[in-house]
Amino acid sequence: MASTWTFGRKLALGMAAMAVLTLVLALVAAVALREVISAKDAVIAKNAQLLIDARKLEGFGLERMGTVRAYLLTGDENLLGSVRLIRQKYSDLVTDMDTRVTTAAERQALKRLAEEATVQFDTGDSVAAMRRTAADIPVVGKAFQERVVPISNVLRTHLAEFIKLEESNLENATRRASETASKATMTVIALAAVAVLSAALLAFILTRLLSRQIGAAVQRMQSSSSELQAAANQQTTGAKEQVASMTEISTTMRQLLATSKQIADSSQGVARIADGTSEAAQRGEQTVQRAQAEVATIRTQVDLVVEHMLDLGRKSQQIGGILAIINELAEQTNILAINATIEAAGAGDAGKRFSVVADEIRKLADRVAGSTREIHGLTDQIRAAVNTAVMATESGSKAVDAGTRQFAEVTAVFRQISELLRNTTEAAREIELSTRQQSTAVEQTNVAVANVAQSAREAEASSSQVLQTVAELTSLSRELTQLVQPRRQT
Amino acid sequence: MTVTILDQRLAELRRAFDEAFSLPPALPQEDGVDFLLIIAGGQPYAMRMSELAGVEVDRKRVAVPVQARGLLGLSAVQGQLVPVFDLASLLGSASTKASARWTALHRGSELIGLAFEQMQPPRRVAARDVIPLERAREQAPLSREAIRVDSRLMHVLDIPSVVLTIRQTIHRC
Repeated sequence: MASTWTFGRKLALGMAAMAVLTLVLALVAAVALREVISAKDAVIAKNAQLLIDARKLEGFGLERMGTVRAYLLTGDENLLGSVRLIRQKYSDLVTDMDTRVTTAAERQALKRLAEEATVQFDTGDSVAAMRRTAADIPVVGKAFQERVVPISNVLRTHLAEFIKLEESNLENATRRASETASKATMTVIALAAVAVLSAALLAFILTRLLSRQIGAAVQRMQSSSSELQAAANQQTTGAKEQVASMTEISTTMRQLLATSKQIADSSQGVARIADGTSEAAQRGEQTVQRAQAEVATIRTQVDLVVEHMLDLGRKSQQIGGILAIINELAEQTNILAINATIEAAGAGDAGKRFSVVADEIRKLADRVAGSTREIHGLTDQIRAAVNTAVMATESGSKAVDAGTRQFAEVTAVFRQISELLRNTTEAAREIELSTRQQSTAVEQTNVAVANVAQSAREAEASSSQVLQTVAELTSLSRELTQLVQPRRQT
Repeated sequence: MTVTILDQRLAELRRAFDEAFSLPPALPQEDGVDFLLIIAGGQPYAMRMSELAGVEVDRKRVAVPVQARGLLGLSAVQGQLVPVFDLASLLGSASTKASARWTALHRGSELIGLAFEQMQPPRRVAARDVIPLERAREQAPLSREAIRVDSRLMHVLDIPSVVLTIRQTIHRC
């Protein structure tokens, strides 16, 4: 996770560690200083004060001794008040000191000083009372010298011992305070050393981490710079190709614009032609409808023709029947003539002239038969022609029917053509409109293409600038690498 | 056939009809012989009209249960029952029973009918044009002579020989 931390975070962490160490050091130093101060304060406030108070007790003793002597010498009653006040101060101070002493020896010595001071003060008061009762000063002096001075000396001796004790305690306390200060100093020095070592270690780790990370980043930056350089080169090439393509596209767009205008004009022409064609189709439809009516009339006439033809065929058949009878008559006549000839031949010479007549009759019958055959052939031909004509007429009638249906289909087709032509006209107009819109769009596109070409040229220039920047970045990365990892610089 | 051709044909017929009544009557040939020209069994033959008693056509024939060669049946002619024989069968050709609508009558001791398919107009032939056929008798046993008609030689059927053949056939039955 630490590898993903930023430089700022790592530096902040290092600084925070250093701050913590400094804070710890400061706290330890403060604690140590406080200990030293406390020790010194204890020395000053306790031992030194006790020593001072001991000196004050000594002073109170001397002052009382002097005041008593002054009273003994002068008999001034005011001095007795001072004597009592000094005794009170002495007593209060002893009481106060008794609360501040810590050792049994001090408390014992202080008790003894209080007792001896009481004795001394009482003794002094008794001597002072002698002075008030008007005793003789020498006597009083002597009593003072004999009774008060020895006690006072003892008290001073004990007070000196107490002072020595307090001086010894002060010296011990001072020594302990010095030892405490020395320990605190050593502790602070040790912590400072630890902080320095930690700072050095942290600096080393940070330097190593940052060097590694920055080195890797610089390596990646170099790699990226190379890739960026290649991309910039490719982008430059692409930009050049794009400029060329944009130029070609612009040319093509101009051609497309010209073509679109031609298409629009052609569409307009198509619309006009479609209008004309639609009118022609409507006229054609009307013509077809008239032709359809005429065809219906022709159909009626054809039916009449067919009827007449069939009647003619029937008449021809009747003629054929009559001809058959005539033919039979001619054949019978021929047979009769032949038989007459046979009879004439059987009659010998008498039948010769009859034979001639019979021959003439037979020839006439033959001629009649031939004529009937011819007529029969003619009637057959007429019937065949009639049949052919009827069939042709029926075919014509069917053709007329088909023509009528086709006329209807043609009419429908004309209507469809007219409808389609209307659609074509609308489509042509839509094409014209669309083409004009397309022309406008093409013009706008042409402008856009010109802008794109300009952008491509600018991109080409930018790519060159990027190349230059990449080169500078590469040089900078090398310099940075050299700064971060001078040994790895190749 | 156009109307013009028909008009020409009509004019020809009218002219021939009128000439038939305007020309003088033809004189009979002195040495001419009348022949009836027929087709029997698909072959043309001639018959002397002097050997015939008449010609009938499309006469109804009634079949008779007699197994005689060429006998087609009996027909009523001139109030008589006449046996009718198929001439093609008698001449040795394939039977033309169905198409033999013509009947030539021969009167001998009794009337006999000879049926054949077609009949052509009679022809009068000069006597010198009648050719005897002695050598060809084996090829045509019922023909003894021939005539030349339109440059074509035509056998003349010997009707008595035909009748004799019929009688022999009937006797064998």
